[in-house]
Amino acid sequence: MKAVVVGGGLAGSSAALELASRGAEVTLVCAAPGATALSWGTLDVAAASPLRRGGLPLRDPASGHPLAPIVRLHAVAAANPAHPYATLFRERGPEEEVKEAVAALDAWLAPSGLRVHGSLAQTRWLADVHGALRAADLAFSGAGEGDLEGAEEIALVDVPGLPGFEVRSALRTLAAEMAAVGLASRALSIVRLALPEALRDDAAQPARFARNLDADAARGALQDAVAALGAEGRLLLVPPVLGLDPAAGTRAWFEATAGCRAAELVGAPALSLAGFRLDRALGAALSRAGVERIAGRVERVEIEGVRVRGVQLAEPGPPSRPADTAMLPCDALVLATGRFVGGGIVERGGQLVEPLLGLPLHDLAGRRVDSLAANQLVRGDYEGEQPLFGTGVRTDMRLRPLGPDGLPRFANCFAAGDLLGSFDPARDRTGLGVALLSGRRAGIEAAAC
Amino acid sequence: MLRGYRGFAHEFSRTGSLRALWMQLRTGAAHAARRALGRNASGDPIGIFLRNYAGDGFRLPGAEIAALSLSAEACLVCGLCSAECARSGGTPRIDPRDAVIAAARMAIDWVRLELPEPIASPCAACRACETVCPAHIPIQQVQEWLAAPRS
Repeated sequence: MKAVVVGGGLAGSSAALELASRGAEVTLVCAAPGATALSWGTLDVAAASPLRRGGLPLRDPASGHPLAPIVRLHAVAAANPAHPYATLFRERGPEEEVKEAVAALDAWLAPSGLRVHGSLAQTRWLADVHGALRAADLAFSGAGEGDLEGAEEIALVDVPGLPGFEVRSALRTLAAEMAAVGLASRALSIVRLALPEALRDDAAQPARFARNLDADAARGALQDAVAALGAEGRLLLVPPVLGLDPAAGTRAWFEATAGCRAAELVGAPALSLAGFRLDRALGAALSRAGVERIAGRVERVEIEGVRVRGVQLAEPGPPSRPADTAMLPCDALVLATGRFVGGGIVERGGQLVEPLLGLPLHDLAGRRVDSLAANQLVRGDYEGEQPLFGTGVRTDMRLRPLGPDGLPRFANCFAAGDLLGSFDPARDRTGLGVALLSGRRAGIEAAAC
Repeated sequence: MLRGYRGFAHEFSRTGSLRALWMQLRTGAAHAARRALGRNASGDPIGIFLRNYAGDGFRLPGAEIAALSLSAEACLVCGLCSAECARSGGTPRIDPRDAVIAAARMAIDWVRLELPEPIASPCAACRACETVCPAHIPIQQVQEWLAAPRS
């Protein structure tokens, strides 16, 4: 059986890996890294943001007790019947579905040195580079080790010269937010990493700095400076630049050298290398699984009646990534083209379009929006719901995208990830959860057809 | 207009480029003088611009450069190019992001500004950065163009 997956983010990769594990011959077509490569170190299936409006409640409104992620997960699926979670959890409850998906993801990433930490039973308190608190659930190696709960003392590590990290501002914010959620008893401080001369210039380029830390030379030069940061019972929170290669174990080296717990702060794009590491680890997993990867864009999908026959690739992108311009025949197609970053939904001639199959698009409230322009779906309320951010395709129970008549448009085409509409990951705090869960499900469904 | 002056003042304070300052002063004076003399009273605006300012080293970007600048404007500043550059062992003296942003500025500023020296020493041209660019910016071409000797 031949399958084509379009899109190489977490959704597309999960679909391809599931298909490959079920014996399909999988080709993954990917134009460029998308939103997954810009993610910030947490997986998050149902996180909460304690001090900002919108999203899920952090505590039980009646008793005031913090809600476990699994409770929030149920709440997300129940609150919006069109949410991808509601579709995914209809047959089996979220517990098993998530447990299985996380175990699968962990197994895919572990050979590259990236693990998934956390569980749905307990909220993990993580801090981001701005000092904001996140009630996270699952997180990758790096930020995943940084639960504030178990620490007696928390120290933010200032790396002189690193752009985009204002340590004093982060400290003030973190102190205020911890007090607001009742974590205030922990001591907070700033410690400064004394960079040796040779590493000082590179700190201006976070990626270069991170690469240095992967190698023995820089580690040797930093040995004393890192050792000086440690103290009994302290949790060191470092900007998210601990290594480019997850297999190099840079966070573990930092922790061992300092002699106390150390973790990365949850990142922001441009400073964080967490998404980059995830993207690379997924790429390595695809290679190990024997998935053929083609760099390029799909120009056209070959259709015969209610079946997709194959995809036609467009001109290759940059010459360094040659793409075969031939037609790729397939028995099943998984669309995981993303939303606005990935190019799964574009605005063409002032109208929102799903460019590959012209599938109907719906906004958060279920309205058809594919004859509207993006700016007609934005409201002037900063914290309110933005219909645009929930725009995407609708699917049936098996994740087959619906046509204009509300019936599955094709028998062998499946959609996954952000291309699915009716949810806004920024408000739901569903993070990469929808990508992982829907990607796996689309892969399983595609393998069965 | 005022913004333009501020831009040059900033550029001057940063690079110490006397040429940029001189051009600014000269065109500032020339503009007023030419208006007073009515030399740009008629004709198409672009023609007038070129006629009046070609002598000062101002010119419209060519179609190719304009396309390059426009594509550079799509930069998300996500940093994947820098990460891939570092991963593949590249050692350019300028962050690919900076080059792309510099080129994007050209689309707005028209005038080629004095750029800091490191751009003059280009990277190894391995194009690793281009393979991960979500906006498909031809980063290598942008770098080459920025590094090209200015006539």
